[in-house]
Amino acid sequence: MTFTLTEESVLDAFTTDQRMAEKCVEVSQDLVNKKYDISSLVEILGFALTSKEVELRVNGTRFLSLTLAKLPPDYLSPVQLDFIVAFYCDRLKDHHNVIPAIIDGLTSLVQMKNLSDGSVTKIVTNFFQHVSCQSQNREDREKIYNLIKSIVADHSAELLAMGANFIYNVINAMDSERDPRNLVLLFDFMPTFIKQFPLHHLAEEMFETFACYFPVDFHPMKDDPKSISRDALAEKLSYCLVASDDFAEWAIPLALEKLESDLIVAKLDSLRLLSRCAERFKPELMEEHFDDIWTRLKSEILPGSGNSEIVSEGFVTLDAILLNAAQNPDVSKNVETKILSNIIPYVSNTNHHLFAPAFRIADCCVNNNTAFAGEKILGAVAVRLREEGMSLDAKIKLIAKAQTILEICASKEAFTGMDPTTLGEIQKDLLNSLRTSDPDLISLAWLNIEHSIGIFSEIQRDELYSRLVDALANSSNRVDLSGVLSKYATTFGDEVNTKVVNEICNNFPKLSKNSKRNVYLNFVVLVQNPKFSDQILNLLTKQIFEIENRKEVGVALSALQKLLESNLESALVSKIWNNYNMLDNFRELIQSGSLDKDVLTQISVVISLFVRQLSVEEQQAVVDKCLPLMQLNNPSDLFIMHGILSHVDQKVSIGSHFSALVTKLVHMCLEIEDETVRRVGNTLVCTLVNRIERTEENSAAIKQIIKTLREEIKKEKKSAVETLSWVAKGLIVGGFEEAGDIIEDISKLLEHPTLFEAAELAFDVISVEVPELDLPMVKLLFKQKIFHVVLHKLWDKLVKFEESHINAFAFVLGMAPHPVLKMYLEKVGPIIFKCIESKKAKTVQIGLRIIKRFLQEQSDYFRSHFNHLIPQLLKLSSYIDSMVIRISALECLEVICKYPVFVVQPYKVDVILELASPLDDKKRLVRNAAVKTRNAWFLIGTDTSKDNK
Amino acid sequence: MPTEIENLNPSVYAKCKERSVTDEEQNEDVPDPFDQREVFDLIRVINDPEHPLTLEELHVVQQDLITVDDANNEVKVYFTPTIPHCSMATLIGLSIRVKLLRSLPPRFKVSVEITPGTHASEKAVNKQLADKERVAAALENAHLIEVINQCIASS
Repeated sequence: MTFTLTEESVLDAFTTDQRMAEKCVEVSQDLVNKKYDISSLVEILGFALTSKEVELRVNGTRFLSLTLAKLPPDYLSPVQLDFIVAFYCDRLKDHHNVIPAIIDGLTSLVQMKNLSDGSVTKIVTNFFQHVSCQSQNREDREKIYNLIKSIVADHSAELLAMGANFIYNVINAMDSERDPRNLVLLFDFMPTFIKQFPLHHLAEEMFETFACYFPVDFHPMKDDPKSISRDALAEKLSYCLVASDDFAEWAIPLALEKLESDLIVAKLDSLRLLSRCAERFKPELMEEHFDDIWTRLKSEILPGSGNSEIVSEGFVTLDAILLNAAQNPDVSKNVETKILSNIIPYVSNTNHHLFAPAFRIADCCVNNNTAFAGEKILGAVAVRLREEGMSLDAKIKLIAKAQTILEICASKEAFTGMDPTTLGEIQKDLLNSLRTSDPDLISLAWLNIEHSIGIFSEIQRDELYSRLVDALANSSNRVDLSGVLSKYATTFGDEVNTKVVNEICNNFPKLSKNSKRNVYLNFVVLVQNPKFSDQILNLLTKQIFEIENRKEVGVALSALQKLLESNLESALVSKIWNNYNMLDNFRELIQSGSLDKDVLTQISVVISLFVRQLSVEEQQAVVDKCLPLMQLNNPSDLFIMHGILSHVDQKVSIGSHFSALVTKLVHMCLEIEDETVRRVGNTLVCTLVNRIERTEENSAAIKQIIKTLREEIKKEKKSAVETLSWVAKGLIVGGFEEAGDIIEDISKLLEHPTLFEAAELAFDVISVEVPELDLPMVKLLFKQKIFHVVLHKLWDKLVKFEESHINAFAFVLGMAPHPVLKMYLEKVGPIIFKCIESKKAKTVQIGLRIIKRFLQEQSDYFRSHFNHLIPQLLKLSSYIDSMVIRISALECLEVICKYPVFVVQPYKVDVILELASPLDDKKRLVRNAAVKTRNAWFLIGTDTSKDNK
Repeated sequence: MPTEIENLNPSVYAKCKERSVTDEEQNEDVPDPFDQREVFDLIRVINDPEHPLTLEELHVVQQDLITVDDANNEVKVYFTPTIPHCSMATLIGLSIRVKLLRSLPPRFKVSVEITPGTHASEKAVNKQLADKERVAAALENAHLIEVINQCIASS
């Protein structure tokens, strides 16, 4: 398409905006394709550009400007550009309706590459002479700012030559701009502008232009498409207010003045502006105003009780100021001296209400000038600690606060720069605290010692070590000094070795059982340190495997378990496993008999912790070695087997052993009376059927055991139901088909005269999450699947609210993910209500737990049943058999208070009256819940409860 | 609420640790009698009308100053105003009373009094707090009950 350049066609293009835009694109293409040149265009447009009708002149200028905008930047020659620039500058005197089109044209012109020198000066001078920015409408002002932005970007040299004139014009253009959209544009652009152009004598004028917006008072409209927020504007403005060093003189006083305001927003903005000043200005500049800043800032942060947002922002500001001061040591010292002289009186007075906030300020100071402030604060603490008659509480409070300071000093390695006398005092105080008898003070002192490792001399360390040995070897309570021990062992390995570890190991047999436990639990952290590893492992294994230590084997096993749970490197685990021949030793230990079941379970856990951390190849080797040796009719082998196989990697193959293994296990589970052993066997069966690869042989084995179990069930054997439920669990989690049939079988048993209770429990087994059970095959959304399957199978009976079925289904409800229940709430809601009416405590408990979760979400379903629910909950609040139910019911009632007042108000009087009786419950925990709930109900409809909503 | 705060810089004391739950408390069959600590737990969390601190932190209420006789259904609480001429004493006493009224079973006879010798108009305040009708009348006062609710609310 080309455009025929005639008056008629141009007039035709003026008819609509869209038409004009299309035609201008065509014209610009024609110009580029040299169908005609720019002078012919101007000539033809002449009739419109020089017309006496304003409308026509507007259209003419718009046509030309739009065409220019579509031209490539290098299309026009310098001569042509001079001509057009002159033309546009001349047009600036025209009617104000024409101005928007001229601004468009000028914006395109200043982007042209061949613009000759002086053109921009000419444009700028003429433009600001004839156009008043603030008399234009919003969109045009935006265009003007964009015009300024683009000439600043491309023609800064020429503008710099214009000096203060240009700055003056820019200030004039943006002065009293009110539209937030334009302000965002300006605030984004001006900081760079101010850095680029010297402000000459106009710095204060420029600052005032921005200062009048501070603090920003702006309430955005809800449907604002640009979604400009007040905070965004305020943040952008703060960068403008600190854009030049010259602004420091006015910006800091401005911030301080507005900090006195009562408005929270104004205070927050002022604090943020101060932080901004500290980030931007030199420390010397900030120091000039520091006295004023500190006076104002202190009144915001030192009482520490005002608005929490202001206080925390105040600390951010203080941090920024101190960080700024830290660039210049002299300034930093002056500034911190002023602050510390104000807060030190409170730092040493533990009962003063400014104690905590003063320490918070002290932390800030120490963070930014560690050696100087740390020494001063620790000095004050030391003086106070030595005062006579200081109460134990005060001492504990002070040492607890000093810990943070010591921690900062240690992390910044500032002890070397500090006065040795002050440090000496602190060391003495800490050592003295160790000599006291108060356990809180002692554990705090140890914590401090752990964090101030650098401050003790060798002689003092000797005392520390003897205290450490004493605490470990002679304490009957549990002590945790592993932090101190591992830190000192890393830094002073030899000393700790000779003076602590050897010392204790030599006297080990004489220690009491509790002390031994303390030693083990604290020493295991040292295993990762190669210097101590062997010695400590020897001590542990000796305790576990040697016959004479049989009575205390549990203590050592717990320590080994703790060690294995502490994220050791797998190479180290493998080393311990092999070097100490763990598997054989454990077998030997178990076969020697006389171990109780708790220890057997512990051994199983420890073995499984070892095995799961070995590499797959090593695991395979262990499995291959052990499987043929095991005799499963011997329960002690079962524990070892469980240890090895319960968490073995999915890639490890059990091979041809599966069938025999699982059959033997099932038989054992059917026969054995002991519940613990049976459970170990059942969980192992569950893991095995879940993880085994589905070969034909293995599937047949699974079918066979299911068949065996069904036959046993026919003989009314309860343990068969239990084992079958574990098999079902393993299968259903892995998503295997056989599970559906088993659930069907168990569902039928719910009506069985003797097995119905076992069948109820079977659903518990299927639903409950067992943390120690490892099921490697997990089907996506299996919980949802269980819920669906069971709901489907039991639905016919559930709608008739049959007790056994409700009890069984409650377990499934308890396990089902909340979103699933939410989806089916209309369907299962009545069943949940039946659950809390059940005779069985467990069912009621599950029902209450589900209801509480829904009430917390302010569920509408339960809200519509308050008439029924609230009396039932009140009834359950005095449920005789279980305090857990009473407490849960009371908690549900408390959550109900959070519903809107008009919903709960009608029940208020009744509930308060009824809750008087749980206040006199025989159990304290129930009374506590009743007090909380009753008080919450009293507050319904008062102002306080409104605040909470 | 007064515009001026009477005691600007009160001493602040540490809060005691939460009561740990014992095995006995979890045993369904062992009854737990009401004791000093339980009543203290009810009132220690009440907010001071002047400061954003609890009565416990200001040592207005202390565990030792509470006597509980579960068998004879009696609870007696002494509270100590932070300064002898504290005009908030009645309000604090009333807050403690209301909190106990709402939280203790009705079988208890509760008395709330100022620790002897710690307040200028001790007798007058004690008399007011002991007068059931005056307490009931005070609770009918919408403004007063609002202030009391605020003191009790966040507890």
